[in-house]
Amino acid sequence: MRPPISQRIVKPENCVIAFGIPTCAPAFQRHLTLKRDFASNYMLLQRYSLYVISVFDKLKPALLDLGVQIQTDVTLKQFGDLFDGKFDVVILFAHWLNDQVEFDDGFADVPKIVVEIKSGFNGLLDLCVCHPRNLVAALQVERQNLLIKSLYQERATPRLWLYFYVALFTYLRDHQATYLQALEVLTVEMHRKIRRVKGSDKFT
Amino acid sequence: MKQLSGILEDYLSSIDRFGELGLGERPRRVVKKNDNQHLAKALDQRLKFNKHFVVVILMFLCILFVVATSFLFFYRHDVKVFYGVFGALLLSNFGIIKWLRQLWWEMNTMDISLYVLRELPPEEAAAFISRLYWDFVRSSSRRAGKSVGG
Repeated sequence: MRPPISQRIVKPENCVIAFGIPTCAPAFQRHLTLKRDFASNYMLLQRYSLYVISVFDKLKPALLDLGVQIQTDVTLKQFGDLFDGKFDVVILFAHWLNDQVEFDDGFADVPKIVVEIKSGFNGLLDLCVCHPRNLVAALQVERQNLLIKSLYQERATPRLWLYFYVALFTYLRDHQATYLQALEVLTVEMHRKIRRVKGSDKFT
Repeated sequence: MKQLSGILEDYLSSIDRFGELGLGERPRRVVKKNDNQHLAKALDQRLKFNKHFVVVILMFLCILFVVATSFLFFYRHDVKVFYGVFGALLLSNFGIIKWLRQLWWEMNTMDISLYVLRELPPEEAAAFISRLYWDFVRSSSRRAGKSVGG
């Protein structure tokens, strides 16, 4: 029997990052045409490219080298397929609006997402989605084997979190650590660095 | 005095059309007439400054020409000085004309922006300014070797 995810040593090869947001120019243009909310907020490819596509293109090779699986243009169905037991950790990069997650095929509400996540999945869902309170609450009730990490305080920007995950997977590759241990170490380190930068800003 | 790119970045930031967006929900910022009036005022000031600046540059160009011509006249028998002064004049003219061309481009862009800001409804004007910044001004100021935003 596999130990619970909170005690399991996790390696980058056992993790997958699923992108609901566009990660290339054609996908962004397609989302714009389909009036998807996240792309519409950015409005222009040049702006989106600067803050998302260029960062993704820069960090993708590093993530692949670390052994992490990357799934782009993820639909709700494809997201559900990631919970078939092949991976220990599923990370979702997606836009959240009005209690819905925006996948490549459009918005999906909380009940639809819960149905797609297999009840037997004994791993961790890392939601890189801002303030998904209702989704987390529903999953905690409906999928009790699932451990969920989500963001409530920080504004999740793709650029910040992509860099964070490169650091996280590097840590997981180099150490025998659980995902939660790595998250804790990296989060403490990130906050320490942010405080240091903010502190040094005061004197400059 | 702020560069054109800086003025547009301030405006776009104030209406939430510049910078990085989070993955969560955010209220849509409606562009008001007031926002566009602020930008028009800033562009007007910059335009006036640029117009004065062009006059100063042209005066400088004339002075440079007179100085160089006098040098050429006094040292007309010294081939080395002649070539040196002639080369320096050509190089400095090249730099100044490049600078003037950039100023002229900036002034045209500001003229168009002012027209759009005064004639179009606020949302449409904002959409035009966004596209103008991201498609032209940003790439142009990056080509000119300035780091802009982001």
